[in-house]
Amino acid sequence: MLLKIKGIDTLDMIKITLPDGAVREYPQGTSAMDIAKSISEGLARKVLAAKVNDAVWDASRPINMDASLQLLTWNETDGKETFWHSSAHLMAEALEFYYPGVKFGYGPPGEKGFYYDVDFNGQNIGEDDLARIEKKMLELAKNNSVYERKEVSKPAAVKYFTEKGDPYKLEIIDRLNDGEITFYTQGGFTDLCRGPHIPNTGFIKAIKLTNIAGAYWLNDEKNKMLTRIYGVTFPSQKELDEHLVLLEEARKRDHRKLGKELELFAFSEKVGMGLPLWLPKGAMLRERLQQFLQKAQIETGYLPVVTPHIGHKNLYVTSGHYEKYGKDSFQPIKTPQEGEEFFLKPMNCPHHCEIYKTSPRSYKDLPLRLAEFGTVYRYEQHGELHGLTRVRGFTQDDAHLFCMPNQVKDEFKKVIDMVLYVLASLSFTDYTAQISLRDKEDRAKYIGSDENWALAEQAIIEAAAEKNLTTVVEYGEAAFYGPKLDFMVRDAIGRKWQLGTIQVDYNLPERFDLTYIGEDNAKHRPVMIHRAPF
Amino acid sequence: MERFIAVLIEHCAGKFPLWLAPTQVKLLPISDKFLPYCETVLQQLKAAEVRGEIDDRNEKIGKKIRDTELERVPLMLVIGEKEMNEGKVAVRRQGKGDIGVQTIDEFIALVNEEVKSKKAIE
Repeated sequence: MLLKIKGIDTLDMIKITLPDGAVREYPQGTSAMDIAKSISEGLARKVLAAKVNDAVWDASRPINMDASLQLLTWNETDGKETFWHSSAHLMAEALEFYYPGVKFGYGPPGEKGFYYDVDFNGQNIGEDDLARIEKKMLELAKNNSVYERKEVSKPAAVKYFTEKGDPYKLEIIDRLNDGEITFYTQGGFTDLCRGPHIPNTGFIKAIKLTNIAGAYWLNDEKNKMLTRIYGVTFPSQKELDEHLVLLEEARKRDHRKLGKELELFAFSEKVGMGLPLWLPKGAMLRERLQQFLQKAQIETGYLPVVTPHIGHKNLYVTSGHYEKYGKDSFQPIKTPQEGEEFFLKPMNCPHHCEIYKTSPRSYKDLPLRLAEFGTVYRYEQHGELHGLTRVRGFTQDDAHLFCMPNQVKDEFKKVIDMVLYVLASLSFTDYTAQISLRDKEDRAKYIGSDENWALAEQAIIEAAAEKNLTTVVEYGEAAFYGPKLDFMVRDAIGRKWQLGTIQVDYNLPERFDLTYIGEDNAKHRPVMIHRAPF
Repeated sequence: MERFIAVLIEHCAGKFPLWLAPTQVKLLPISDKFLPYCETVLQQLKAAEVRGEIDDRNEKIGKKIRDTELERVPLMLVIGEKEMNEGKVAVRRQGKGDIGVQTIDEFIALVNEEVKSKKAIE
């Protein structure tokens, strides 16, 4: 007994490290909200959640160990996502009011709001109903209902949703382990949920349910079609108003709408979904752009090549694409000859590797830069197709740079130069780059020598720095075959768009057994860089 | 290319820079009477690799201008009696309005200069 009492003095306090590096001591069990209050009441009123040792927690959850802490408000992405996640629960509460007996699938937040997949079980719901649901949500929000977290045993969780009669939640619970299940309750609504959530519903001041769509349970066409309701919420009406102005502006600029009005491109169900038809004006635009890009490529020393739209199965067995994507992509084209199979090309690199192999290469030939406006075909699920941004057939401004390991940096700098030149010519002035490197801990999963990886990673970082790019470095985001750099641009109304990638590849040179004779007269493996930024 | 063109369309709201615009110039005759002169101007533009079209619809000039604005064509040439007699063109810029009367050579030089400099959208 005495020992335990004696221990309290030291055990009782925890060390909290704030983002500025300051370390403060608090009693064990203090919540992020308590800490916010100890800093300032004004701050506490804005806190939505908190990052505790890199995991997002409820602001009210007691902290029992030394931890780093970042308070999350509307200004942080994680704060917004928590806000929208809680809004999805609020919408579910409103839906249960109007549609008793509805069942819920998944209801996650996203970058632009939230949705919930709902089984209305035959009850009718349409766009016209959204206004009254919004109104109910606002009414419920005003109750300032607390989002209460509760750990629940698996049998208790199963019992709750069996009684409620929700097969979707039961299916989710089935995949969870006992001991990791939590419920969240606000007002009269309880959901199976990992959380975290905002302190109470009162934070949600402005609501817009944006649209209704169909979505298969678990994204599987064999499952039941649920109703997906999208929405977005804000901590003030002013922010919602600004958002609606932006949405209206985005609607006016929608490329699908303009593509039709300006007679640039069209789609035909007979030709096939996701296969754009370029009309004369669109083709003219595309030709101009292509000529412009090709001129820039040639000035940088790229050599245009042309390869066919299909390739023998063996090509993709060698490249590894057959094993990896064969089943999920367009199925092979058969010929009258028994057993002979061709694939529509999903990328140009295997063809370009074969061009590399048409003659012996020496270090003097490198870098060898093969470029092609290559049209590729990739199967996308019907529901994933969207205008020109998600299609089943498209042309890449593709090029493959075969070089020596010590040339990677220079090649990256040249590619960056070209990308910046193109962006400037099209008045994109706001862009950033993401550099994706290996996982710091687990290096076994990557192909290629440690030395070459280190060299390439360093080369990309230095190339980006020397070109004054604003970059974010992400560890563990690299592909297993090499590090990469992605460009992200902001358009005239501030939306972010991801462009193509500059990707180092140690895998294909290996698989295709590409070599060059070095200065030392010995055979070496070239490094391959894929680049298709536009 | 597809995705990038989609981003480009949304970025510039369909108002492509002159060097990229599918139709760079629309010739707008005030009446049918000026169609033959428009044809002559168009031939000169074509010879200078300027991409042009004639709006030969039987519409009032005000409507022709409004429609061309909506089509996001960067430049318009309004052509009537005075322009034809003087061998000139009255130039309008999308979203900006009248920018003055020019000879055809002056106009071609203006287009070429802007295309060459890859002047970005304002």
